[in-house]
Amino acid sequence: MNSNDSTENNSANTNVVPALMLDHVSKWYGNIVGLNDVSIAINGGVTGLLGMNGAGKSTLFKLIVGKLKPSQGTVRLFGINPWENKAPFSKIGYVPEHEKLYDWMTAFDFVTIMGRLFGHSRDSAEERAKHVLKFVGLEDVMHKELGKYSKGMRQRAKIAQALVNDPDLIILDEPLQGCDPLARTTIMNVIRELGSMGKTIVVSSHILSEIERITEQIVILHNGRLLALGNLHAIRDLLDKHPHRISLTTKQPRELASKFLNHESVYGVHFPAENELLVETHDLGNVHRDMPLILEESGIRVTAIENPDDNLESILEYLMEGR
Amino acid sequence: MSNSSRPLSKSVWSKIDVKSWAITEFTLRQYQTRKSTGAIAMIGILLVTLVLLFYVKGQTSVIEAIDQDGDSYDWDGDGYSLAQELQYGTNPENASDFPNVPALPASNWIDEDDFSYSMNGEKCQRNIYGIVSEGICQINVDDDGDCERSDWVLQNKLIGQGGTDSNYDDIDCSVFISTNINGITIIPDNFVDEDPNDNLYFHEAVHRGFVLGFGKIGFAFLMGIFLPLFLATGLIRDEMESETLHYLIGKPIARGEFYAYRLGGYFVMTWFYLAILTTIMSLITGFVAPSESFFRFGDIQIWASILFATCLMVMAYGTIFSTFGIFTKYGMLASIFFGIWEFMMAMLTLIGTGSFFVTRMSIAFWGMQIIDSVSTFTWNDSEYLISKGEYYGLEGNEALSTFYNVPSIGSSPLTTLFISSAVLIGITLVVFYIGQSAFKRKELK
Repeated sequence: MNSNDSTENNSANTNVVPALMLDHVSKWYGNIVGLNDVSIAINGGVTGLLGMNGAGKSTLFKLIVGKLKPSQGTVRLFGINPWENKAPFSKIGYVPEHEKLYDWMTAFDFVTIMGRLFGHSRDSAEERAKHVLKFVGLEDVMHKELGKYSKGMRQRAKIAQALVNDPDLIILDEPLQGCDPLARTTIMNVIRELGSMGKTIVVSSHILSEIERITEQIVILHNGRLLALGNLHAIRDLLDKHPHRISLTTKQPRELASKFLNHESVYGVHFPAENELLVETHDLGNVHRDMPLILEESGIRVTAIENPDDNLESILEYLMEGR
Repeated sequence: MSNSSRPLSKSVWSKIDVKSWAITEFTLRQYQTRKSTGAIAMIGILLVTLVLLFYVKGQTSVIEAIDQDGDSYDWDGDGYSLAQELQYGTNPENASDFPNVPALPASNWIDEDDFSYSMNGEKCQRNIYGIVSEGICQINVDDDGDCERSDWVLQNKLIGQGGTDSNYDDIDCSVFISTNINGITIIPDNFVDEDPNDNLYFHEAVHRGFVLGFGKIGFAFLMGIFLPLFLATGLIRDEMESETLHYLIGKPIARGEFYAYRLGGYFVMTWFYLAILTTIMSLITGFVAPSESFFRFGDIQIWASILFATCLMVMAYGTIFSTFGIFTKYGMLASIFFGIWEFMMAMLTLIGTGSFFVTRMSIAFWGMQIIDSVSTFTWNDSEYLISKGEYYGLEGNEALSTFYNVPSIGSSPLTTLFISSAVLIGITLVVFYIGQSAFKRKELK
């Protein structure tokens, strides 16, 4: 405890201790590498942790919240090793990936008891529970058993329990997984609002568009390695210069194809289905900028536009190629 | 929500009372909602009810009175019992020689000199062939007066060597009682306590046998082992398996403490349940069992010892089983194997407490020692009852002799009680230390 005290004090005197810091952290499960030499420091704002299933996101989170001990390297929460000392947990809210909850409890009871585990008195914990349940939009149903909640409501209850102690660092492991669009929007709004309060938030997902709607600051993990770290738009700009496809659904794909072929950035077209046109380009931004004009001039009705390569797999593929 | 900064250094150890009670209360609520808890509670209540029914039936039955000393018989057919002929000095084997008074019914001489259950008396010495032993002597315990009356001419002839002081304590018609490391020695003079009340003996012996038997097997062993098996093995393991553990330990609480408070919830739950069952048992047996008053208040300490022993055993077993659960997902299997070992040791302990040293390697042995120590202290004439019952072949003796054991540890019941309790608490603390150390280092994948 003393060493931690001194660490805390010294750090306070010299520079700001990051909320979360991993220094060359690796984690092996026998011969399987869960995380490989990852170093990051996060302090403030919302950070999206992107990665496919098995990329190491959950391993990273489990190391952060002291469920796992790093095989190599150091993990620090507010300058303290969470495996050795549980003190940082008073400033952390964690939303685990799994769906398991105490279904026999009401959301109010669940969040209240979680508050009491932080050392709040019963009255204080109840007040806090009401506050955070209102914050996540469960005020009207907080006295309903968790077992009767929908998936989205359960996720919000999990977020509420993470917020009950007013944490400085909030870790959300796949909070949008399995939620319906309405629940996704609600949860995203909650995360954005927490971010605007100055909290440090790390949220994981394997869906790019979800993270994109929440934050620009991302960390990409792949096969346990840190693949990229920084601004999502910067990465996207790089990606946009890469060969890309645009899918357009229309009843006149061939007529529309001729219009696109005249564009300087389009180098090929395909017709994968009867009503589908696939445009190949090496400058996605340029084509998207000119697309409204092309469609207007052609007078052809298009019912859907999609970017099949605008996803995490493509980014990963691109980043991997660059290595 | 504010973004205020809080000092971290003391967050683990601050508000520990609030956190501990929160975990304990949560554990209790969790038990309440589980169907298995209700099922186990119901099984226990059914078991107690069933056993009590048998007990009440036994206590309300009447045993046929037997004349152990044969003095109610009319040997010569003159219409006078042996006792009456002895009393008046007529020849019991000559039909023409009989007392010149009306014949009394033979029932007057059946069960006419019951055992003296009291251990009260004056300090005295027994001196036989120069070997002196200290003890207490009960006087005025010759209920029918056949030892004390010198005018019973023929009887005095029959008394033989030692006369009316056959136990050599220099007091006629007394009972000599000494307590030493080998237990209690009770030696009555001739014609003292020689014709016990069969019915009373049966009910007393069966009552004691029942309380000790059910206390040791039903409570201390069965409940002591099955409650923890179903309620403690998954105390940590179930949370690990269902992945809900993080909600509980992802807080500023050391894992060891969390484990302790979790066990605390289990202790509160099981102890409360056991207290209810023992209270029911003590109330019903207290009203039904033979007693000079409307209730056997003296048995309360026996039931208290049973409750105390069972609580300590539930504590020790619970800590062991939950630690198994921390080490392996096959904790239940490990607990069952441990339970089989304990069963064997419990049986060996009942067969001959202290005879098998290996039994000391079990929880059951030390739990039973606690009950034995208090029963030896409370029912200090049990050995006397057993030896008399064996001598006269009285019904009910088997029940008492099977379950009554003199403790094999310590020089006095109090020492036994202290040592046994200390051993069980010690085992619990050591296993808890091992369990919490393992839990601290356990990675939750």
